[in-house]
Amino acid sequence: MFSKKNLLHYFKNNTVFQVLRIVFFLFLCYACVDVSYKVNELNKYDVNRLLADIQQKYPKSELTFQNIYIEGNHLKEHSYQEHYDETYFESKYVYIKDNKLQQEPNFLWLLYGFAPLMFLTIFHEDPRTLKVKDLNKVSLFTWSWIFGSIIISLIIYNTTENKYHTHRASPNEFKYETEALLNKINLIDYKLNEK
Amino acid sequence: MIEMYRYINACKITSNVIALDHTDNRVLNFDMWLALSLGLLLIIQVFSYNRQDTLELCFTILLLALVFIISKYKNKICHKSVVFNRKKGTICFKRNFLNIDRTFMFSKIEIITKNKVVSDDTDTYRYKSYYIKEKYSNEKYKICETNDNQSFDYFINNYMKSDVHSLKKLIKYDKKEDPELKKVHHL
Repeated sequence: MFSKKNLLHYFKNNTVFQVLRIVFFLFLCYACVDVSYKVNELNKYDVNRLLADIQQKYPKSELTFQNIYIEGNHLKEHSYQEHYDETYFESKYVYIKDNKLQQEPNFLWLLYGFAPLMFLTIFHEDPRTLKVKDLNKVSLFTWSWIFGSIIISLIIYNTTENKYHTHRASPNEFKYETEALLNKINLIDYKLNEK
Repeated sequence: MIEMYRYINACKITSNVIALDHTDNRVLNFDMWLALSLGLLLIIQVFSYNRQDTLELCFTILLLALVFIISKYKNKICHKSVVFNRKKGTICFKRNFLNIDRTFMFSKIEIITKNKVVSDDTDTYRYKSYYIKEKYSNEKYKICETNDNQSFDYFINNYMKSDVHSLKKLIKYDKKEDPELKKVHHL
């Protein structure tokens, strides 16, 4: 029923918007499973004691319900603004997987997929009925399309990526320090006894 | 004649009833505004789910539910239709967004025409828009728009006054059986 050929046929005959909708809902399901997995994993350990140990080095760290938020001591400032109003501390989100503390991935790069789509909706006559198999027939001003999507990705890059830099320490110092700390912590010491 | 029918979003035209339905066009606009305002915010919120607090995650879930509900009932929210009934001599104007549901007697209203000009750098576009206005009151209700060289005003006046000559010439129309509109089908 769900053979490879059938799936490919279904994918090709669907509209682009429908495929994107399916991808978005799959991501939603993944997020739900991921959050429940992380909460379940956190319940197996004595998290308060673990947090206390991390707070010895980074006092501002906090515990959210799904992960541990580590905030560094180095102040970061905006790089090319003359007035340094915006400041913030370096930070990291950490969660438990396979009996190890690991860093949370950032999914915001997925927004780059929306750049060509936005341009398609602007330039195509009827973007809602555009099917996946007809994508190669789209005759736009090819160059304007490519340039436009590059510009929109630059805008997304500007809004999502932070352009801050540290004053007192080299940028990678926090990264190395936290990695060393996370490797030093042995999670088996914090495991709760199952009754 | 049929070009004008398409322009004014006519749904059904017979010798007794003229029904205009603007819902489809309004839904398209509504979709765009929903995607630009709430949709983008929702996508950013969902992609950053793993760095969120309890409160922020609640906000994301509420936003998700809100967008889902709004997009499910968007056809009801955007509904707008105008029905001209020749035998009863009435006009039914129905719009769900501000909850307007009124019937006018054709003898007690007048139809106002406004010429509009949209000028670009290279071209100027002209079109007319038509409004219902009750005598002795200031409220206006927009019915439809037509091209510059078409006149819905003249057509509907003749139709409602049962002008024999124009009723003979009337072309019957149904939106579902229009071959031109069948080519463009939406999701």
